[in-house]
Amino acid sequence: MEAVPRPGKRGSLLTAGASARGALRICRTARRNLFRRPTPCAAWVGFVDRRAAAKSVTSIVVSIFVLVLLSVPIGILPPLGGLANPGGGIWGVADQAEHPARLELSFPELRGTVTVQRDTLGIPHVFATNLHDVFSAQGFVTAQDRLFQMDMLRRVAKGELAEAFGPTAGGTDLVETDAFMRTIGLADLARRFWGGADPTSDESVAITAYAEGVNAYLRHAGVAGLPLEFKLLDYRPRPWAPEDSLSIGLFMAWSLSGTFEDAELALLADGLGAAAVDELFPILGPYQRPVDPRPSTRGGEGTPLGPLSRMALQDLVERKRAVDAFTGVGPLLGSNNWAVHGNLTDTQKPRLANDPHLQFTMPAIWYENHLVADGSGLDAYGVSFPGVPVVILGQNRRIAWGATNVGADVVDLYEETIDEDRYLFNGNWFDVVVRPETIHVKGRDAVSIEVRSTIHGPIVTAQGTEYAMRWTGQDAGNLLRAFYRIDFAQNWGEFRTALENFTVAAQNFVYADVDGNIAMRSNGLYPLREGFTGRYPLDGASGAYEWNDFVPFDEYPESVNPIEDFVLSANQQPQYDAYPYYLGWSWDPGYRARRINEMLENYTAGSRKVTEADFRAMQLDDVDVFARETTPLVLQAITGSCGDAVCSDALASLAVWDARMDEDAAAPAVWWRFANRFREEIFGDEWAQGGVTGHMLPFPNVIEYLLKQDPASAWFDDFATPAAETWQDIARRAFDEAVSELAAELGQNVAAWRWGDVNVREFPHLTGLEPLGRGPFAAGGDPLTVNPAAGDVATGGASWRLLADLSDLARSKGVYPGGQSGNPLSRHYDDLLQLWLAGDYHALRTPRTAADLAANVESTLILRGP
Amino acid sequence: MGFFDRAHRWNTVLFTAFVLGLLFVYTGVWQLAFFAGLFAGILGKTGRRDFLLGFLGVGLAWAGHLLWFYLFFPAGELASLFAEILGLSAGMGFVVPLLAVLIGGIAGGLGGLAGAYLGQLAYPQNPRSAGAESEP
Repeated sequence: MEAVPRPGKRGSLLTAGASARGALRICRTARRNLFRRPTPCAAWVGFVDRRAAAKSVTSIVVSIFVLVLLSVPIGILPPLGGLANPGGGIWGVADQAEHPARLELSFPELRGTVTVQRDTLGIPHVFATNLHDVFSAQGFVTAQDRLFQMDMLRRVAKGELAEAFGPTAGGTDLVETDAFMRTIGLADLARRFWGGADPTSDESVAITAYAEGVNAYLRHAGVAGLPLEFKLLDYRPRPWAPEDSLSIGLFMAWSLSGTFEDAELALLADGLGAAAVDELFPILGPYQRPVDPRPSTRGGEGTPLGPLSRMALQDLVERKRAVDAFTGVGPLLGSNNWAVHGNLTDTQKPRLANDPHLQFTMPAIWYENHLVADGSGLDAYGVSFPGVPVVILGQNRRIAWGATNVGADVVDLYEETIDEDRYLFNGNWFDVVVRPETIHVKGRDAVSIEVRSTIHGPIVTAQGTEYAMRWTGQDAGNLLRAFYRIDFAQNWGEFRTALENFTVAAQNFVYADVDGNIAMRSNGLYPLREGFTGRYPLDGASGAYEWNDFVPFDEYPESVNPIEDFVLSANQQPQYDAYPYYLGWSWDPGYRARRINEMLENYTAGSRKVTEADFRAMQLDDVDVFARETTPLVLQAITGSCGDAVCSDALASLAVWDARMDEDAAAPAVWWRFANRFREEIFGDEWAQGGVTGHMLPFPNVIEYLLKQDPASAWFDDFATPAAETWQDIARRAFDEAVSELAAELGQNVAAWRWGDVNVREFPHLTGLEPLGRGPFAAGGDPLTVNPAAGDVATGGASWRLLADLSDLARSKGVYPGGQSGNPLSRHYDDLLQLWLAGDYHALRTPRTAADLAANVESTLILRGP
Repeated sequence: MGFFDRAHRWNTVLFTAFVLGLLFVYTGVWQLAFFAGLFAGILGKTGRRDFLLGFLGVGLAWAGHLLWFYLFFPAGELASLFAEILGLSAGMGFVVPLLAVLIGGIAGGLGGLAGAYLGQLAYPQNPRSAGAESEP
């Protein structure tokens, strides 16, 4: 029996007549003869089962509703359907956790074949036959391991966070953050520098090749191979452009030099008086051991201009703080490096150490790699910023190098005289340059802003008064040229020549070579200001406060094979006091430099030679020299003043303390809490009266100076009380506060207090997602110790530890807090962090060929060109 | 009875949903799970039954994929991590694959439902009629 549509009860004849009936007959015939199956002839002729139609429509509508519901984000949740999908969702992240033991890929942009061997720590050793290919492969493998981080870094630099995260994240207004970064204009500078670069230059070829490598990986990975974070945030990365690498380089430079301390200092001078600022924030601070330690005299401090706009400067300071909180440009803890001549080492060849202190993140800011290009002279090993080609810090076959931040004053604020769209400069009116920017916001309409600039640079605040920013980054050029050439340098002369191309942010470069030379050089662009300093905002209209040029390259602070047989830097004042140029004022208080100096002197006293173990001990040292210098004075002041057992026990712990900020001891907790309360008690009243509460307080070396050299200083008096307090009175008050706080937090039993209970290190993930972060871990140290911590929650510290042995560079060691892989499921996500936390290092394996590494190869990647 | 005949036995529908569900996973477009169910459902009998078969077919296909991930990759760790990201405890990681299979199953089931009704619309014979399953 054939199934024939029946009109009436279950259907209706939409078209009637002989033609329809005829069609039905034809259909039946066709069905029998051709397909031997029932065919939907009724539908063809317009006969529809109403009930079936209603069910179909309903089921499709419901299906569409459910599919759409699972395809769109709900609140903070990404689309669940896509995430759940075994073919493109989160599950692929498990698939990508480890690299396959062997993988061969076609990579048409290559000129030859590249072999990449990852060792047992996941560190890639790239062996290429030419320079183009080695940097292409570097881009490829870095993207394999750190694609999300690379994308994040370029988004931070280019002001594109809101596009990925939405208007806010973790309480931060990302539209405002993006607007700030676009105002600073790093992406615009990168475009300009790249546009003006010679595309055939070595470094341009490297940058282009790197971008090709990243994009080759993007093609290879597809959607399924994207890292977890892209799936959670529901977006795909754009192709990599050469300017992206430059933008990240500029962001690193900005993060190390972009401060608005001029604004803070102006606010302090406004509230406290310029004389107070000169006393408490001197250009040349007390107890400094300069990087270039020549004899000294003192220089002038500079003078603030007349009336200023507190509102504008306050706005600027607050905006910067808010942006820094999200972009990871936090208060810097500093960095250390030193090198010891072979005269003082156990190997008769130099040893070099470096530990730059940067923000802790998961994954870490550094990516470790080894780049070899046969016959090109490139065989460099070290750490690189994800997204940036070349090795930034490390060693090659003949030299080793490291860097610490100089902290020079390379940003000036100019108060502009603006009449609508024109500004006054040197007696003439010029048009304000306007650059429109569109900030894309996930889930919202795009936001349009205008970045306005004068001859000095972008206008960074316009709250009543408009301040433009001049930064040496605006003159940076191709930041990577210097590092590219450093990677090839074979001796001090070539290294120094390479540094001619290093511009921003000025760094103290430490150097050692296999020939036995050591050196330190504070290198970078320093504005040449004649007749003024850049400590305060400047008048932008007069033309009298312009940067005429930069300090000549040959006059940078430098120390080569000094008579002491060692060089060191720890962000302290770089120049000897009689140095003829103003470089800045916001130097580290100098305690780490003092400690490194004394340790080197101790280790090399007599005929003793410094060893690798000594270098390790130095990098992990937790002696607080400020505490050691001032504790005896404080003990004298407080002894006998305790009114209860907790106070007495806390005081007793300090009395026997060796100034080590040991995480298991109680005394460091007592000391650190006291030191902070002491500083606040000394200056809190003046700061409140001056309306500058919350702005920076004097550095500890100034307090040490006051205690030792000026104990009757008026700063100690609390003028909120009728009595005239001495520093001893203030110390007792601060000690009581500190002990009370700790007792409330840690209990009444002082013996059970541990510094590590209130001092921890955290390694947050870039997205802020806690399960992807690591820590907190109890920590020793404080911001003044060689191995630093924050004295509360440290999210920054030694980001890379290098111990280079110039007697045999294959015996060098290093470690950074993190892991090579950005995949949280990989064994290499945090394996190096575990080493780092244990105070351990790994050997820097420097095979000359792929075959040399055979025993330690975990995976091999072959990239084949056409 | 040819393969394209409607009102196949349940195992044909289930098999079709499973195979298509398995294949469509490789496209990376999860919404195709719906179409896996839809194509299977067109071959089926009734909406209710085909919803169930589409759900099972695609759900099993997704479960098979996930089993692969669990057997050869650290999918368990991933599930625990994802559970933590969602604010659950790591021990609730088992919910994640269940949720994934549920989503695939629902997509496949809805496809089966829609397919069955579309099939009835296109081949408007009485699906419950025994004659519909045999040719003269």
